[in-house]
Amino acid sequence: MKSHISTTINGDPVEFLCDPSQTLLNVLRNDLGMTGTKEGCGSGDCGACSVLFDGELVCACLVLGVEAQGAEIETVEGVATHDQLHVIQEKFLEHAALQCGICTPGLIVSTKALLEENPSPTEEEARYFLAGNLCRCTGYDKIIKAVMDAAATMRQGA
Amino acid sequence: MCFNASLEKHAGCASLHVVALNYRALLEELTQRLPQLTQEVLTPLALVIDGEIVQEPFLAGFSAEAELHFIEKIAAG
Amino acid sequence: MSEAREFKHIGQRTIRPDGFDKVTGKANYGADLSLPGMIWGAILRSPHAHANITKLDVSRAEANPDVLAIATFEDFPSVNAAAQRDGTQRDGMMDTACNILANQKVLYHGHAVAAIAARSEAAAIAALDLIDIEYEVLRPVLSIDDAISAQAPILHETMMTQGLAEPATKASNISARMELKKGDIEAGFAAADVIVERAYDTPTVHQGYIEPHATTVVFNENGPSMIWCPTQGHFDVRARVAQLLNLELGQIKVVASEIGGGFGGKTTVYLEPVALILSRKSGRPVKMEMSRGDVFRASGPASASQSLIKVGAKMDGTITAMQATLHYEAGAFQGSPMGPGCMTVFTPYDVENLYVEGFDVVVNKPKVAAYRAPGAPQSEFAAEMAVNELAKKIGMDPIEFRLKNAAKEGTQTIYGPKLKVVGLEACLEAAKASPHYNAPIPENVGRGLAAGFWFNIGGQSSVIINLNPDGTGTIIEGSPDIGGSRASMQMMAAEILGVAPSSLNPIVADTEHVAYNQTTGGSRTTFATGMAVVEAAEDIVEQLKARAAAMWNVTAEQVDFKDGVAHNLTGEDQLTLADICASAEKTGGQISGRANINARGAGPSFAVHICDIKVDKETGKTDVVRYTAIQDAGKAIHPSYVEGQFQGGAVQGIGWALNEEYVYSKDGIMENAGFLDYRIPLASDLPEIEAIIVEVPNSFHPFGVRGVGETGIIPPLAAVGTAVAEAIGQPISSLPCSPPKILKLLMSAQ
Repeated sequence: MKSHISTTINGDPVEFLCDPSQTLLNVLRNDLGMTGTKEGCGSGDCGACSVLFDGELVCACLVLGVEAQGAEIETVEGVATHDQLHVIQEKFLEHAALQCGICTPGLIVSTKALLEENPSPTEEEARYFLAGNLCRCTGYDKIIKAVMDAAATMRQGA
Repeated sequence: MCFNASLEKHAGCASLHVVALNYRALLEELTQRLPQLTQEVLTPLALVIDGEIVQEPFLAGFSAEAELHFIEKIAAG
Repeated sequence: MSEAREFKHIGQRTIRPDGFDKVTGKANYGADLSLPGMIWGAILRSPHAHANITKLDVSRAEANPDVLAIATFEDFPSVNAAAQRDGTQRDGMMDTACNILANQKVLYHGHAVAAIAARSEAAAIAALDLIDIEYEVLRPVLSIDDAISAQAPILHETMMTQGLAEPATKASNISARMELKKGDIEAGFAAADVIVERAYDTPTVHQGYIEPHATTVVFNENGPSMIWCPTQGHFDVRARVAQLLNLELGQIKVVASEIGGGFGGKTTVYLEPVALILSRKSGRPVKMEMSRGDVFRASGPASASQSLIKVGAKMDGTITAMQATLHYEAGAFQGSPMGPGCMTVFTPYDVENLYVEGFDVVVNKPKVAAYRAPGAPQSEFAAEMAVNELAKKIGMDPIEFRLKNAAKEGTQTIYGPKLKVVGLEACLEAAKASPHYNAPIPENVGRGLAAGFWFNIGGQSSVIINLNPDGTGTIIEGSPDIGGSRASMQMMAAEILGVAPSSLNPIVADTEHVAYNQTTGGSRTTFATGMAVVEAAEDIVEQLKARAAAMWNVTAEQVDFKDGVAHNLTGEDQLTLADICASAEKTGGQISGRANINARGAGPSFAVHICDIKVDKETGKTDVVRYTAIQDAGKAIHPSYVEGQFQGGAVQGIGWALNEEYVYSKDGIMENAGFLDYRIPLASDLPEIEAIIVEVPNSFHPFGVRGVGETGIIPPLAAVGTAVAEAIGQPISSLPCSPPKILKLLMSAQ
């Protein structure tokens, strides 16, 4: 028996049917066609599927689709406004903080969560907050530089 | 023309002078002079011409003084 | 080339053309394509490391209404039992086929046995239980020592060791032996004052790309079938699938999706041929995805190794002889990177007397695949550790010791040729001058330094550049972009054409829209495909001159083209590239440039890394507190992405040295097939990775480029290993330097 779920994704009201065993990640990618959220492990270890769930950073592979009932979900697709990139996205590009880019959507969402919680992180705080987002290409150096620069730019803008 | 240890077994010597100005002539001369060094042994290999690795040397030419080596083709990740 | 040149775009830090899509989630990777009517494939995998399949009956699964197709080894027409009987089996494809779907015998935990396609992913997975399979379990062979012992079970009854002095007479788990030598090794050691001899080992590790293998395919009887997949080489996917399924190349179109990391691991096929069989049988598009566990257990990790190294030197620091015996695990089928391991092991050194012997050994683990400078990290780790120990014994600084013996232009390598101009000495000098090396070593910290060498390759690349009537254009290339190479293609073309990089859109075309390109690997893309881009752009420049000449009614020789503008040498007239494109209709139609090359002259890249490590003596835990990666790029086209290669390679090497390893039970079951237990470095594990670009131009490339992708993973193993050894005051001979192993060393010293 599938459940009928009403939720909000990136500000849009969304309804879907889902099996009780289906993860939110599976619903997003396979039923709603929102493939910006990536799957790297399916076990909450890599962070490629990071989304904000009622403002809280979660791995979409560890949340069930049915739990989305009445929730507000934000995915990477909701970070930019039309074609205007968010500062975090701009800084990732400026600092060449991605190579293959598969971890990038998760890192963008996690960085947003970090800077909403702590607008002035130290480098060490940023490294620990983002420890749940694996990147195999960059060695994290340019990611951390992008995050610190985004934080500084956002503080100036605020 | 110099041979590494793997080819030396076929060639019976570590190096020799050959008169050839291109790959085809080189192959012909080598296989005639050293019967153990067959086309099957040589054609899968890359040719190094004065230090420049040529993975596919079929049409390669070189000078009379060139130092030549055959090496395994490098594949990589 | 090599004279100093002023560049307008090369060397700048532009925004990558594919960046917008990647930071907004719009970019489509391997698992991101779904098609109408699509069904899902799932794979039944072996629970045993080594077993004969005594029964494989799919009839119950076939009867299930959700199941639309089933595939087994018998569905590979070119290599199946009938083809073997007829002697029509194609060379080299047998191992690939048997690895993708086992033939009567499973050779590692997770080895694929059969595949099912069903209406949903869940239904496909559930239907795997309906396959009736029985095994006769055999003793697994899980280490080199075990594999080469006289009592070892033989994995392949027909495998004879190649490369022995006398032809082998009986089957063996050693598939090949290689020998390389230079000078007189015994005389070399006789001339030495000090000799270090030590055995080293490294574990099985995985490339650890974050994107699992995935594919969506459509079989088409009447036109080309389509394969969508993340791969480093879609033309090679096409070739392998065509061979396995007896199809012509023209019957298959492979679309390279965006690729979520590869590092050598996405240079072969696993799911693609199986999915195409399922699609052919079901008449539906088929999608398949590997789980992370499947990726660890059944894709291609990098070889575990054992190395015996002996190095001798005089008290003045001159190395007189170096000797190595190298064993590489190939996994279940022959073909470890033992060859390049032997060729690279001592190449950073200009030494008279060298001897190297290598062995390729099969074990009951997944068939290895390439991993960044395949074979070199293992052997050069051992060599660099021994060199550092020897430098210390003699009392010489490790940089001075290396400078005294460094490979340079004219050095005779053990694999034959003399080196051309290379940048090892420049890297060592840069290391000596670096802030890191000049900083005092903090208390309780060990410092290590190591060098690395990788050949780099050239090879085949094809490029088309089309210009539009307004002067913008498209660069059509066929090298999957794994780390920002489209940015460098754009910059190189812009440099030649004298236009803004952003006016040229680089795309990685499928196998139908551009001619053959070799796989993205061997650090070849910016070098070789870049060379093709330059040639295609130069082809356009010639055409632009001819078109401008036609406009002015002069000859092409009377036209000069510079910085995007044609000049009439007989007068004052000028036409921009955009002007010429706008009038192309009048002068012969639109303008395209083209290049199909087999690039020669790849320049080797050397690197030197410095690492500071702190060890917690209570727990054995290690912390990298400072790290510097120095490498010769020849010429950095896009410095940020060059630094990114240095940093990424360094951190993969750090992971290899400190934590990563496959852990097997005594039955050969992989016990850590997930990112929680197979621990790749996290952001919180690392400091800043300082990157220093050295530029010693490669004279064979128009801009001086050397590939940079691979070398960076080589030095970290010994830089880290030496730093740990210094920190704990004991020699390190086995990787990874994981806390339990370090703690054991610390306790044994007390």
